[in-house]
Amino acid sequence: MNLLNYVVLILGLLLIGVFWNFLSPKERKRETRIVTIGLFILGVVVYIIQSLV
Amino acid sequence: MGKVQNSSQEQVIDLGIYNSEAEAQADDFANIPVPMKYRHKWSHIMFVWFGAAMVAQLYQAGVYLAVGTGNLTNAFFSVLGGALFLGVFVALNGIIGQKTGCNCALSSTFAYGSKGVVIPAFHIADIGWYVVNIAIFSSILHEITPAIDARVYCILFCYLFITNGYIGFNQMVVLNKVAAPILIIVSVIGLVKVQMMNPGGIPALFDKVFPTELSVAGGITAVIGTWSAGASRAADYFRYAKSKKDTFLASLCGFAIGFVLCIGCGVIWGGFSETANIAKTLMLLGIVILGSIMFFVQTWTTSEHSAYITSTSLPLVVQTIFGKKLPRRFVVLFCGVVGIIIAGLDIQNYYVPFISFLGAVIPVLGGVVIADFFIISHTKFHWTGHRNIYEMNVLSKDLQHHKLNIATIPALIIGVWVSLGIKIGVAAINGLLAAILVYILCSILFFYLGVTKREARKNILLDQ
Repeated sequence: MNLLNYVVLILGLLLIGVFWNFLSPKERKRETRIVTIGLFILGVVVYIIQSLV
Repeated sequence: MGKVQNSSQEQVIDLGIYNSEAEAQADDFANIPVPMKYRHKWSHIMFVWFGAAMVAQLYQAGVYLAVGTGNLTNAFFSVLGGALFLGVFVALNGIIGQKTGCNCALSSTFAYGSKGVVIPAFHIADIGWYVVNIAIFSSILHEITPAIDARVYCILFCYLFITNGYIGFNQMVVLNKVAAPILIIVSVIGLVKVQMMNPGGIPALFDKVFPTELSVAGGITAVIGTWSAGASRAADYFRYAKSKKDTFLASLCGFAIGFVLCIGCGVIWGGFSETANIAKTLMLLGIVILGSIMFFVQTWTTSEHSAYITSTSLPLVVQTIFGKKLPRRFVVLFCGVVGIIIAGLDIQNYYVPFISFLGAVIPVLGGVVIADFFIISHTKFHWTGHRNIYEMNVLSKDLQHHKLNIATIPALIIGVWVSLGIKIGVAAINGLLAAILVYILCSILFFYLGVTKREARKNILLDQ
């Protein structure tokens, strides 16, 4: 069950990140890429910490 | 940065901190009044409010009221009492927005002062609602799909639901146009199911009795709490209205109908399921898939609304305190980050205390602005020394040089104390009336103590 949660989480974060980069206007592509990578890392870290607590 | 002459309508547009109309429009006129040529028809605003009013949490509140107030009659009294208060509150705040063309945070400048505006603007940050909405929706999904942790849903939706925040207001209208029909369909199906599945139909639900956890007055305050924060910010949307009549129409057709529909449905559903758990209610009604789609779209539109509101008010706080302009999309991003971090901490368990607290406190903040706009501004007692101050441009030096209205401080303190401390009647109404009364009395008192005279002297110095 834990593995399923991680799979769903990581896939979900990746898909949303791709979606954002697709939608992002040209002049903000770099910013969007940085933000989506940051949110991906944040999402995974937060879930790990909340699972441990 | 300066003024733009719109020759076709002979309207001079003060751009304030913006370099062009396009820049101001891209920022959703967050820091200046909305020029008349950019305002919308009432039907456009109505759709936005219809969608914004209908939030998944109203169903949650409805099922709780059905069970918590002892019976459905009490629950509906709570709903109607709360809806009446909110409808009037929305309209009054909306008129202020329509008149000034300013969002709630900016229009509060007239009552609170150019620096004092951080008081209402800070509360207006809807990060709390953003988090609670998604936490409740995630808990619903977890009940339906127990294999997936609610915290996973919290993280993903806190991320996904700020997507449109990068685009702006118009896209929210499109989303709300899709959400409204879905909600109506699912609500009707749910009601039909209750009628068919419950022995004696819907009328028989009114004979059921549950252990009473909440009085009708407490229920009214809880109902008010579900939307008091949003209602106090009606100016954010009604600044796009063209007239007071449009404001009333949109309030009535948009907010009131949407609000009562949702929460009333929740009461009926809760009466049938005999549980305050919305996920179990959907299962018992056999509308899990449809209900999940409805909650998904609703929670998305409401979360967009919450992030949008935060992004219009928080930059004003930052600008007032630090003098720096904060792009709205970074505020939206901040909402998402906060949500990702805390939504998974069982925030949904604090929903009822949360809305009860908001129902008691938020009307106090709005009460000061209402008293200032509808009463004090037409008298000689206005703290700035101006009469009919709402005719002025909020960006004018003649208003901006008035920093803080100290009459708001005792009004807020006593208003909150009354709403939280006095257990008789409806807390929201007690607090609102107390704030209005104290504000009026303090304005008059400070006038005779010479405080207003000091502020008025600034006007004279400006003229020289």
